[in-house]
Amino acid sequence: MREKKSMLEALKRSNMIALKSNKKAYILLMIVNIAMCASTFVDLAFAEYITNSAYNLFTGKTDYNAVIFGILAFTFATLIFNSLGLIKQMLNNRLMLDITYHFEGTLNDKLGSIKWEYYENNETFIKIHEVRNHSLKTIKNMVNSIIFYITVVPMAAIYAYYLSQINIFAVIIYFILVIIFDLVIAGKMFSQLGRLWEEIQSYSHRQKYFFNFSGDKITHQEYKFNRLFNYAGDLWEKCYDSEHKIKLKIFGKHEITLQTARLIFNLPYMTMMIFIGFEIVAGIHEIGFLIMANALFNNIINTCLNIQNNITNNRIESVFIKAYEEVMSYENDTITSVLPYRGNVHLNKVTYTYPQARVKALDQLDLCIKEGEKIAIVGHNGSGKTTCTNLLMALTDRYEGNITDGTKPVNLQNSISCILQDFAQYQMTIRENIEAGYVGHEFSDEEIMSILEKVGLKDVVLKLENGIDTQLGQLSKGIELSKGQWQRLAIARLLANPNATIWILDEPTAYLDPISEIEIYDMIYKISGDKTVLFISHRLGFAKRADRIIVFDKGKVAEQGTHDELMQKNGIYAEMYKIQESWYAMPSNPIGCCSAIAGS
Amino acid sequence: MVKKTWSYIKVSLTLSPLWFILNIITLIIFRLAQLGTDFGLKYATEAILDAQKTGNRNINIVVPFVLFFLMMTIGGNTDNFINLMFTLYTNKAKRLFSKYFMLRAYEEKQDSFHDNEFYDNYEFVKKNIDNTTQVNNVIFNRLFSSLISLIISMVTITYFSPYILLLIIIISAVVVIVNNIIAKKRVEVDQKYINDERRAIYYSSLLSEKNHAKELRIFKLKDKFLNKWHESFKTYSDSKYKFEKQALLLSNIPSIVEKITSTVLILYFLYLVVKGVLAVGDFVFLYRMMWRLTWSIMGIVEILSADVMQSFLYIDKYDKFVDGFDPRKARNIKNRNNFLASSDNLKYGLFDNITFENVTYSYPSQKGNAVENINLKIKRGEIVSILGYNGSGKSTLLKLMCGLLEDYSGKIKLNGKDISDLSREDLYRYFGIGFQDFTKYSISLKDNVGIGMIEKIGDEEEINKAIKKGNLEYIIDGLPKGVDTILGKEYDPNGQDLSGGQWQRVILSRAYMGEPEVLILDEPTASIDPIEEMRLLEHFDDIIKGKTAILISHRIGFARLSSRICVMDNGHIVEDGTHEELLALKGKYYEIFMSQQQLYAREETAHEREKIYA
Repeated sequence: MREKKSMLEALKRSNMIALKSNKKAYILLMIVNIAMCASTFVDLAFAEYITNSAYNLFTGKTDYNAVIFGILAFTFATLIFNSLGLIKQMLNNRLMLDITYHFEGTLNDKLGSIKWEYYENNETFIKIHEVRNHSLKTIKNMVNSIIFYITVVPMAAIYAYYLSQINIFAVIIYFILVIIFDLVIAGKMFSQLGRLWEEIQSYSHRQKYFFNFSGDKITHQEYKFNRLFNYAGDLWEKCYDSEHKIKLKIFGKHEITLQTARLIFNLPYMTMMIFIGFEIVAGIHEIGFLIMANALFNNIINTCLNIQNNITNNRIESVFIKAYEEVMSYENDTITSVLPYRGNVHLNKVTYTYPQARVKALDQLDLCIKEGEKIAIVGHNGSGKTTCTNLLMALTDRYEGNITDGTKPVNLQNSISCILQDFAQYQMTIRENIEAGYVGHEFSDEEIMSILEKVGLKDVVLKLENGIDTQLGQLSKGIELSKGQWQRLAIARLLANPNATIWILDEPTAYLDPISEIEIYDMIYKISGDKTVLFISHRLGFAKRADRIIVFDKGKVAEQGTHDELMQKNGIYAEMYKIQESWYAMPSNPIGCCSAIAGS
Repeated sequence: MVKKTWSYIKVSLTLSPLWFILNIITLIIFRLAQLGTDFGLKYATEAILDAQKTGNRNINIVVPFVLFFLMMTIGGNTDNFINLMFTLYTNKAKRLFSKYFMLRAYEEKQDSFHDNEFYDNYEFVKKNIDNTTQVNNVIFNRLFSSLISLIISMVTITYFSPYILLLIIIISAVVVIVNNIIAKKRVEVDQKYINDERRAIYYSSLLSEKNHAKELRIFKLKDKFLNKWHESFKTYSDSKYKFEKQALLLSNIPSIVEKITSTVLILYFLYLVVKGVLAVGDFVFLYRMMWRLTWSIMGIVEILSADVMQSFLYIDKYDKFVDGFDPRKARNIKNRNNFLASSDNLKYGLFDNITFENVTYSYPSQKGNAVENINLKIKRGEIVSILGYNGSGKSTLLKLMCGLLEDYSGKIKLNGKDISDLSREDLYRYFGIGFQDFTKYSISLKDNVGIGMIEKIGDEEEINKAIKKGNLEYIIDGLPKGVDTILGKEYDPNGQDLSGGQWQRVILSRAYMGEPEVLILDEPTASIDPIEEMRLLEHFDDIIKGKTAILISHRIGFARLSSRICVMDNGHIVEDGTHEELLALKGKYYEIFMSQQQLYAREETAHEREKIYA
């Protein structure tokens, strides 16, 4: 019962979407489809007419010219329906296109607006994936289904018209048989099959995974080097064979189902045909009626099968509409238009756990960031550094504790400019990659060039034919930048917005050579002026210059202070620093060096 | 092209001859059954008219109906059965094509994967591997089926009048011409707007994918990308719609022609009835035959003009990728299982040295040389550090050394013998590599380590040794099924995700697996904190145990682990020597080292220095 309800809901929803995307086309399409039902009538009438004409011509009851006229009339009608069919197809194309446009536009807008955490949560993430891949197709199928269901009504009327010319009792018995066999029994069989097909999904998934072991450009090297062909090939074959076995099982079941259904469908059909044959002999109908009846019953059976098919598919696919509804009801980010914040930032007892994680990422974190401070944040992977910056950047508000200016909560949404560890490499122009850092501002060429100069890309760009308007990446057949150049571009993106009061740099020089690294850090320190700057890095040489170093461990601040203070403390920071420093110690004992440090 | 397609279809034939023949027989039976229904109806009509004339209502009326019913049950709604037959007879062929693809992808040298044309082809074939087998067989089935129908209906119709043939030819000609025009135009339109389509898809992904989600929100890029999506989508869909409209109008022509010709035919048949040449029953029969004829012609033409082109495309690309399909080679894949030879059989003996003599290499599809005039000799027991930043050619050097890249100029010799004389597998067995861009396989942890030396993947002892060296024990303790836990959630929702740092340990274990002669580590601690980095490389000399190691990094710190340092810049080895020698040179290494050292050594107190070097 619940399934039926959700299927009806899904049908309703899909068609609302279709209606919204192009009202005119939708309504016109309905009308044309209903009008096209008349062509069935014409076809049936033609079958009857033509056989009767043949008989009448044969027995001399009519003359050839009259028949010619009749046939030409029918042909003309058929041609009209032909053109109508054309219009129907064009309308259908238009509607489907508009549905796609409307759906994807709405979905893209929603997915870009929902809270970031939905992407971190495995459940919702999978749901989003499902919706992106399946919901559109489902909507289109459901629209076609509704159009079909609606045309069943005039079709049924046409069938009734013809059936009414046969003995009424015969018709009633026929319908009873049809309902029992076609709608009830076959319906059950069809839905059974639907469930079997779902089973096969996991097998195809596995098989595809192992088939793709040879990978892409990058992963292929290990496939080859590690000589994985036999290993992957064997695993793949096992999956393939299991998939095949199940497929056969499904086909087998399906075939038995179908043939039984066919047999069952045909019994009422045959009985009626024989009955009509006797009626013709008795003179109640003409011979043409038989031929028409043949086409009629075929049509009825096909309509019934189609109804079955549609219902089964609708039932299975309605889950994707439900998923769509769910995703559309996700919460959006709250956009504020506060001005960039100036002042201290206090984190009080901030606790945060990632969705589905067992361990807290931040645990009662207490931290005070003074305005204008240059802070280095260090710590192991997983100690909470990135999570802390995520919260500062207002990506989520689902944490305990608060972030305040000392008294009131503060929202840093419009105050921060950043470069992330896996920064985006947008396949657009160089200019657009920088402009992304300051949306809404019209950059002059000089502004762009000056930023490029600061990050050391000016010379490279000047050498390019299209300069700052050079396309990057495969998408527009642009050029490829090296990882180091991309990183500089990402830093340029950070510099783009002069109004940002807080800069967050997460491993900003991972791909740069040591000398460039020094240049970049020098530049940042120089330019940042009175902005608050947070560095996250494993390279402690630059931490030395910071006003304060904060060491994260297990979601809390383990140590903080200036470099000298922390070296005195001889804690985590001191240990890390000494290890790194030892790489550059003057007296050299290369191999034994490790063990010496490990021992100390 | 037709010959090639037929040779692919033949593969299904030769692999499953029984099913194939059964399939053909089934198709023939179905068509004959359809013919049977037509006869059934004809006899029924005649029987009824007879009975009407004579007034005899008896069993004679029922018999043709029973025939009709029987034929219909056999020949009606055959799609599922045909699908079943199809699955049965293409199964082995599909398996073969897929496995052969995997083999050829495996055998292909890495150089080709950097060639854009080859790579696009590879991705296309991989994505459409099912179509390679299926499309041509589906077409074969449909074509064969339609052909039988065509022959049957043509024979029966022309039995009554040969002039029909003329009309058939006219219809077919028109349909063929129109379909060809449409097909050509469609390819044109698709090509023209494929970029807009790709762009629309790209902007969609920027808005809806996890890895872009953060920056989208921080920089408030949603509206900007949404607008770009609107633009690209509109351009692409408007032109597609315009074309489809044109195509529809054009495709209407053959159906009008077909309607007119069938009207003419019907009038002609009725004329024959008037003449007394045709009985009513025969007329009914012919009428149905005529419909079958038109449907089969339309069907054949459609297949030939559209679907066949698609099929040719898939086969052509597959064939190009595998360099011509060799059925014998494909079927003998089974015998290659015994290539899992013992890795103790190092073809050139234990590793002694590897030499580069004037080696230059440039990637296909890229300008300039990735490495140039490399001259290098590495001897057994050395720990060499290759220092260079992105673009210096260090990863290329590694790939040349272990034999992944083959199209180089110059010579590379292992133990004095040219490596190009070694089979790839024999060469690979000398090395254990931790790649910078390593692959996370969704297989058990045990296997993720074991594939480092696949010949020993069943050797529990070796795997445990590698696990110990990579310090994986504490990770294993945290996994629900220990070493047998599947890593990653690709297809198993119970799979476990590991953090970046944990994966780095797994990769190290993978490299240590089987105690390779030469260990190469490429940026093994890229984003790891210093303490973790230290732990990973603790006891490095114990791990190496006198064998050879090459450490590649842009971090100068690694240089201290090694007995020898090579500095690479712009594809050349610019400096080569011990740490002291290079410092004395006062060249690139000196520059980098000193700048880093100053960073750390600033304001260093004597007290601290003593503590370290006690």
